[in-house]
Amino acid sequence: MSYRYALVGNPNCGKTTLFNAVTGSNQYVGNWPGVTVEKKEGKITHDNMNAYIVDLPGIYSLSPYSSEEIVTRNYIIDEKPDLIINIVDATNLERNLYLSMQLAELGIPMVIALNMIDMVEKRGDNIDLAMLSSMLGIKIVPISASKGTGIHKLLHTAMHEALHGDEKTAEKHIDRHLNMCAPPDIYTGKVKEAIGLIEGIIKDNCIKKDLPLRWSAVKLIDGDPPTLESLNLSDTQLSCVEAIVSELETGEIDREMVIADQKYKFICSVTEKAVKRRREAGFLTVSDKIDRIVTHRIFAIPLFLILMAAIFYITFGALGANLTLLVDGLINDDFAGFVRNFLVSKNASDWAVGLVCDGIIGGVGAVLSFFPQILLLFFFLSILEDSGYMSRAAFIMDRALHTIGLSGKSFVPMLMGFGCSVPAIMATRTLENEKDRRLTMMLIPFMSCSAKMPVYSLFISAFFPQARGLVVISLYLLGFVVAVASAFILQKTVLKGGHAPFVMELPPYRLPTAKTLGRHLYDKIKDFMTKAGTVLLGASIIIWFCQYFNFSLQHVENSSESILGVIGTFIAPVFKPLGFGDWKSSVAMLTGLVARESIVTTMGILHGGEGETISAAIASVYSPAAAYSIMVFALLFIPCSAAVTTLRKEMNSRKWTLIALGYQALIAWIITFIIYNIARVIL
Amino acid sequence: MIKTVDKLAPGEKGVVKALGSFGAVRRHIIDMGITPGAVIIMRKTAPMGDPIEINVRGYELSIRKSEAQAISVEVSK
Repeated sequence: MSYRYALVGNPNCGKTTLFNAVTGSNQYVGNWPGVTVEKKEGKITHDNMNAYIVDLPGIYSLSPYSSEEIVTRNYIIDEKPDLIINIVDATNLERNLYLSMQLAELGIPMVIALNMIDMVEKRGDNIDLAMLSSMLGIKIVPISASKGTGIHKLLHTAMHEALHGDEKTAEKHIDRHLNMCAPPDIYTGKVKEAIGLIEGIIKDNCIKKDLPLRWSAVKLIDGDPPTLESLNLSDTQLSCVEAIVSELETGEIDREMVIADQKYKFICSVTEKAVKRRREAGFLTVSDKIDRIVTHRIFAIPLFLILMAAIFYITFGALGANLTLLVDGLINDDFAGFVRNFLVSKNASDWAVGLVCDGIIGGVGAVLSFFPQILLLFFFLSILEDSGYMSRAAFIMDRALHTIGLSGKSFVPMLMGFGCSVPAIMATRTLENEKDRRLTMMLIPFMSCSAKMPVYSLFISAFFPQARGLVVISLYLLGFVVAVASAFILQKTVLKGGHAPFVMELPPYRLPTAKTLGRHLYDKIKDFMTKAGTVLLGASIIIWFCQYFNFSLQHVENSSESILGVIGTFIAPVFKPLGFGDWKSSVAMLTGLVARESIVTTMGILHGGEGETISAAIASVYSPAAAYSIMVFALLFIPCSAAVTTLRKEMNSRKWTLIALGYQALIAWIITFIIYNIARVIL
Repeated sequence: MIKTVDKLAPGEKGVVKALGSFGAVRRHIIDMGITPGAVIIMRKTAPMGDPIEINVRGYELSIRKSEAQAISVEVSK
C-alpha cells in the first residue's frame, strides 16, 4: 500500500520548492474537480515504498478566513492523510509554529520540515533542534528545500512516522483521532481545565462524527461556525460549553483571542529556550534596508514606474524587436522558403504546398516569431514574483486601489495579467473576500496579456513603425485605465459591498535562483509550444481549409466565397461601426477567442501567401484608424478560451461568468467605437 | 504610555495590550500573531499615507490604519 502525505505550511515558506524537490521528475499534476482551489499531487518513491504527496495551498492558520484555509482544513479533516509534513520557515519561527500547533491538534501523525535552516545559520542564530523537538513533541528534520539538503532524511522520517502511526492504531484498536497522536501540552491554568471539561462534554459527538477531539474542543472556544455545525451538539451540551467559555473571558482577552494567546505564549516559551538569537528581534536585515528605498515615501512610486517602464522598454524596444525579427526571418523566410522549394521540387500539388507553407508555417510561424519577446516579458515578471517585489507593489498601491473598492492585494494578480490571464486569475485566490475576488477576476482580462503582443506588433509594424513605443504604451495604459474604471463602475453597481481588507505579509526579499527562474521559463516554453502545436496548429489548418474551400468543399479562387468568407461576411456588420467591417478581420476576431495569437495567424493566412509580408499586405487594406481600432478591440474583447475556462472555474458560478463575459464584450465594443471615431479625426 | 499602533512613530516599539473590534479581519490579525504581549515595531507608512508596515514576531506585516487604530500598545520610554 502507499501512504498519503499532506504538505502544509505558511505561504512563501518554500512549500512548492520542497514539493518539486521531493517529487522530482515523477511529478504528475492533477486537478480535483469540484473545488475552487487547486491541490497538486505527486508521487514519491523512497526505500522501495511509494507515497503520494499532496501540496496544499499556503495558509497562516486553520481559521475559515480565506478559501485556501477552508480547502486545507477540509482536506485534512475529511480525507485524513496518513501524515502531515508541516514545512516551517526557520527564519520566521513563531508565526510558522502557530500553524504547526493547530495542525498538531488534528490527531494526525506529523513531521516538521524546518526549512531555510541555512539562512538561520548565516544570520548567526542557533536553534537547538533536539530541545525544540522534545518540547513540541513533534519530530523535526532540518532541510533546505532550495539546495535540496535534508530531503532524504525527511522522507525517511516521514515514512517511519506513517508506519509507526499505523502500527499503533492496529495494535491498540483505538480510535485514531481521539488517542493516537496526543496533542502537545500547550494550554495552562483555566484554559487547560476548560478544554478538559469541553472534551468530556463533546467526546461522543466527536466519535460519532469522526472529528479530532482536541481540535473540536479548541475550535468551540474560538466560536468557530463550521465546527459548531459539524458537531451537532444538543442544546444542553451547547449551554454547558457556552458557560465554560464565558468563564474564560477576561478584560483584555476575549473568546476570539483565548486560544491564539495561549498558543503564542506556549510557542514563545519554547523558542526562548530552544533558539539563541545573535541580535534582538526587529534589527534591520538586508531586506529591511532594501525596503527603506523600495517602499520609501517619496521614491517608491517613481521607482515602481521606472521599473515597469524598463521592463516594457526592454521587451518592446531594441532587444525584443530584434529577437522577433531574427526568429521571423528564420521561420518565415528561410524555413518556409526551404519547405516550399522542397515541396515544389517533389511535385506536390498546389493545395498541399498551400496548406503547409501558407496554412501551417504562415499561421503558426507568424506567432512563433514573437515567442522570444513573450519569454522576455515572462522572465521579468518571474523575477518580480520570485524576488518578493510584488507584495511591495501591493503595499505601495493599496491606498489608490482602496478608493476604487479594491485592496493592494488585487494589484498583484493585475500585474501578473500582463503575462497571462490564466495564472493571474488563479492568483486571486489570495483575496479573502468573494466580492473582491470576482471584481479582480473581471478586470484581469483588460490587462494586456503577452498573447496580445503579436497582434500589436503586426499592426504597428504595418501602420505605425515610427511611433512603436507610443502606440504600445497607449494600449497598455488603455487596458489599465479600463480595468480601473471598470472596478469603480462595477463596485458601484453589481458588486456592491464593504471595503476590502488589507492584512499582508511583506516577505523578505530573495534573490531569484537560476533554478526557479529556469523552471518558470521552462513551463512557459512548454505551454507555448504545446499551444503552438495544438490550438494554433489546429486553428491554422481549419482556417486555411475554410478559406480554400466553400461549403460544397470546392476550391474557390476568390476566398470571400469560401466557408470563412461567408461566415465573416455574416458577422462583419457588428464590426463595421468600429472601422473594420471586412470579413477577414471579423473572422480574425472570432479566432482570437480561441487564442489571441490566432488573430495574427488568421491575418497571416488570409492576407499572406502572395510572396509579400503580412505587414505589407495589411497595410494596403486598412486605414491607420481601423488598424488602431483592431488593436483596441483585441485588447479589450472577451479573453481567450483558456482564460474563460479558468474564469468559469474560479468564479464557480455560471451567472457571474456570463456577467463578466457580457461586460467585457460590451465595454470592448463601446470603447473601440469611441476610440475609432476619435482616431479617424486625428490619424 | 498607551498608544494605538497607527500613532507610533517610525522605529517606535510597543507591547500589545488590547485589540478593539474591527470586523472579520480581527480573526486574521490575531492569527498573524498580534495578541497581548506581542512586540510591535513601527516601520513606515506607505507613500500614499496608508497602509503601514509593522514588525511583529520577527516578520514584516502590512495593515491599514483603520485596523491599526484598534490595536493599543504600551510604549515604554
